[in-house]
Amino acid sequence: MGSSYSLKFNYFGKDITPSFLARAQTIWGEVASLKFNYFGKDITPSFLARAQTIWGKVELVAIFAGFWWSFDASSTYLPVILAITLCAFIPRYRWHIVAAATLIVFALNPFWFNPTLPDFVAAQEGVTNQINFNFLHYGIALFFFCFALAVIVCKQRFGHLAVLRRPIMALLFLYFTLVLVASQHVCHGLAQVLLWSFITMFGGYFWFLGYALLDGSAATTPLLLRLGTFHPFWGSSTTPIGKGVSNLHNVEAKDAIELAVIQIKGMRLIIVCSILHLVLTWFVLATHTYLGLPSLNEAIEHQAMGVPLSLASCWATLLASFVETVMRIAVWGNSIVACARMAGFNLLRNTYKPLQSRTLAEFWNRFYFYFKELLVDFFFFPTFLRYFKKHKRLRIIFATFMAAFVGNIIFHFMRDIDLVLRVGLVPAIAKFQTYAFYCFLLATGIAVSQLRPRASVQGSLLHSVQFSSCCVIVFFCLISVFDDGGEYRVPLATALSFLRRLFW
Amino acid sequence: MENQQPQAKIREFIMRRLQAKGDMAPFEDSDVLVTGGRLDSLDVVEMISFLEGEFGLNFSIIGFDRAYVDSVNALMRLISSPAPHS
Repeated sequence: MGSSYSLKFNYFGKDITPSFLARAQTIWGEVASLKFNYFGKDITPSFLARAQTIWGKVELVAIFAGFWWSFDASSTYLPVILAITLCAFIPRYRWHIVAAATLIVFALNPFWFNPTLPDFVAAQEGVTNQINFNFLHYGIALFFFCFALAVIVCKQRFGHLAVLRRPIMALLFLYFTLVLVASQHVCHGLAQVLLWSFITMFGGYFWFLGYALLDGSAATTPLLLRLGTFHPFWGSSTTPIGKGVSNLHNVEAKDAIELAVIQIKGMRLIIVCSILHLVLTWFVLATHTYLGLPSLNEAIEHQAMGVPLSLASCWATLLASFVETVMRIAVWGNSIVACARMAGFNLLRNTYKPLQSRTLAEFWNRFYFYFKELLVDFFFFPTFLRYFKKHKRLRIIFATFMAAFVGNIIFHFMRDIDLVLRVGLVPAIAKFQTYAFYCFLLATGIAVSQLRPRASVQGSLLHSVQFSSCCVIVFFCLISVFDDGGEYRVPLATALSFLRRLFW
Repeated sequence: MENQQPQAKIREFIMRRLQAKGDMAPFEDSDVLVTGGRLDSLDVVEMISFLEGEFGLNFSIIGFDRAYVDSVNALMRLISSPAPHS
């Protein structure tokens, strides 16, 4: 009787008993604390203190390891988790741990950027049976890293020489000379396999080596530890995430409190990535399976075959493809950043609220931060600092075109160099016509966006901000028609025809 | 800004760039602003133009490293060194 009275009083009564109030505070207190600690923006002093204890570190690493499984369930999972655990407990040896873990991850998958290419060349040359591929992979890797070390040492000691004053230009010249030699079949058989394998490895690590050469202030770091940042164990594509040694020195945790803060941010970011990953999975299911929308490339192929989709389907496909691309880049890049943070490096997010961008340049900055940084560091600044210094607008336009147009094409041509192997040099260049047009539109948009004065955040009305964001999204949706995700199958005329279909 | 000391000019320039983005948080002279993410590439471009115009720096001679413009202290070191001026 007493129990049913208490039930009635607590759940249906007008007043609240002190005991029920205390219990509710405990429950909600726990939920609120959970929400605050794992999803909140700020960090409570108690959570920060706990993150510095042994059990707090174990908790953070365990949570990260649980979520990381959904991003990397391969053979590299254990070395990565072991590395971040060691970085959490013996941060004094962080750089050594990073180098060792990077070496292990590399040894597990040396041709991570293009695993099938050496096999393909060997088959093409008819020498598959003569080659031990493990020996080939590690041999080429060893040769490449010796070459990279030699280049870095030469830059340090003989940096005044003309060829080393512009090392990226010199490396690009060397790379494309090798591609030209390989594409003309000057070598045959095993020599051709070795040449293409070297070109592939050179291309895969090109921008890592580039950052090592730009890193004037990193000369004090031992060379082998510098190599440990070449495709570090937390991951990357051929675009480095974490821009060389001096950048990593600037953002690494300096003491136990900073390490705890950075690891908490890493743990929160991997949770956000996991949720976004789930949303992405549902989104793909909803758009492609339930709504039956084709991919953008399929929609364009329909157009090419003379059976275009309806206007509504074209727009729906375009928007769905854009949202999917943004989510994919965000999940992929930010999960890598989360892993780097767990190792004690407070890297900036790769994707940060791109849909809130008010200008095209801002979107470009927020969408794929590290790729934008690569183009800025290797193409924009070198141009901006040298040419048209007395003409401010022309200076910005020219430098923007060198980055978003020329640099963008060079980067993608190097990334997808197997196209040259598969179809030949000239056809491969021809296949880039549509992507080159995409880069031209992108560069034009960003250049115009940079020349327009920035509106102050304070003075902007909400609706004008939303209108600007919508315009930015529509622009990037429309130019995505010319970016077929590295397949280079869509001729420019077909892409233009699809674009026309969107309007009438 | 005409009669200000270099440090005050630099601080005012950075403050204006931050405020234009709605970033009202204070900053110390030693705070890293570029690698720390508070200033982006577009701000660095503006900063280069500002340094060239205001202090006569010539980056095509000295080369460019973001570390040179990362904080007020780094900028002060840059403009007080004899080599970079054109």
